[in-house]
Amino acid sequence: MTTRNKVLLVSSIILALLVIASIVVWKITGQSSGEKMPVVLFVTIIVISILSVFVVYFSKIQKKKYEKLLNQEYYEQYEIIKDAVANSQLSAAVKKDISEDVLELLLSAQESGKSIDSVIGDPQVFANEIISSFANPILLAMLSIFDGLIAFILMILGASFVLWLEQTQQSFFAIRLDISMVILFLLVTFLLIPVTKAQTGTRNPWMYMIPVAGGVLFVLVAELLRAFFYDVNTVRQILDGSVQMVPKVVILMIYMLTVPLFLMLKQISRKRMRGGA
Amino acid sequence: MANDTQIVKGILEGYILKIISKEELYGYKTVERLNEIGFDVNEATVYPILTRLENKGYLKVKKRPSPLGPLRKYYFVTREGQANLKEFQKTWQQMMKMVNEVMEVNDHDNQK
Repeated sequence: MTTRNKVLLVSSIILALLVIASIVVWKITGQSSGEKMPVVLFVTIIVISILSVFVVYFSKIQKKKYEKLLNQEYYEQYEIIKDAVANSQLSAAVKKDISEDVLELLLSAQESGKSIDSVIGDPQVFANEIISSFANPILLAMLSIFDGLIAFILMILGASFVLWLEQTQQSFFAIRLDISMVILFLLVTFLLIPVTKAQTGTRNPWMYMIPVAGGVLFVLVAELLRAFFYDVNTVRQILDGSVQMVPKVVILMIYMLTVPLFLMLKQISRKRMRGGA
Repeated sequence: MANDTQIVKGILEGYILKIISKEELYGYKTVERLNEIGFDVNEATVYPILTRLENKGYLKVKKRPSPLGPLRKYYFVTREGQANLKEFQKTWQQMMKMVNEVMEVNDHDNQK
């Protein structure tokens, strides 16, 4: 296993443990304050957290049939290119095609006894050259924004639904989300995910720790604000305020229509890319 | 010849079309052919050019099994590719003529 994969596996285990710890704390504090969390929800979150580690292992870490033919030196560079392509905005079919091509190219070069540095040079530059041969950077950036918006809406709807499950006697449209939670969703979708994706094409294996570090930093900043700036009204609002993100049926409809609309726009944009969808 | 300028990359596109129009090649073999001619290029330079030419519709591919295991992409020049190659050759000839004329004038001036 490469260093990159070890870091990835450790970061996925830490993330899963953090989610499990949060849900356990939530359940314990909920019980003492009289708020009951449904057992199905509790078990589902724990099972998903554990399964996510296995998904990471089997989909990202375990080598595929022909990848095993690459020696360690070649595989490390191939992995960087494969990750950069996988995290790009290209379609799944194009990503698969590129990964297979690059693998075949590297196997041929390895067979002829060339050193990996003379073949690839900088894997990040190589991957970027390939990706930009399919679409211009503006289109790729636009698709990233669509992804961010879709993820943000799904997080808002998901969180509202989970909170509603806690109190089903209450109307779904009366559910309020913590402002800090909404800010966290914004940071995750528009900052953490794009930064992590952009960093996967680099040689630095520690970029897989960005999500964990981002989460810890968020909690740290929130607690520092609480300790030193709680007197400021805006800070108090951000930390303890709440907001209705789905107050009406119309808003819910807008959210629900926005997701397929952006997915459709993504599909159309990809069809316009060289190489098709 | 080093591969670090846009001019060389442009020439490479035309040259790759030319060598693939003569024989069917796969990625690694294309790099070998270019190295034999004198281009100091590697796979990192050539593969993105091949994908660009394929995406522009100048090359088409056929996948066949390779002795190393995974399917190998063999490239062929399309009709559009042939037309583009002709255009490239025409531009190249004109450019060579102009450059040679300028160089000859400079050499003549230097001798005086």
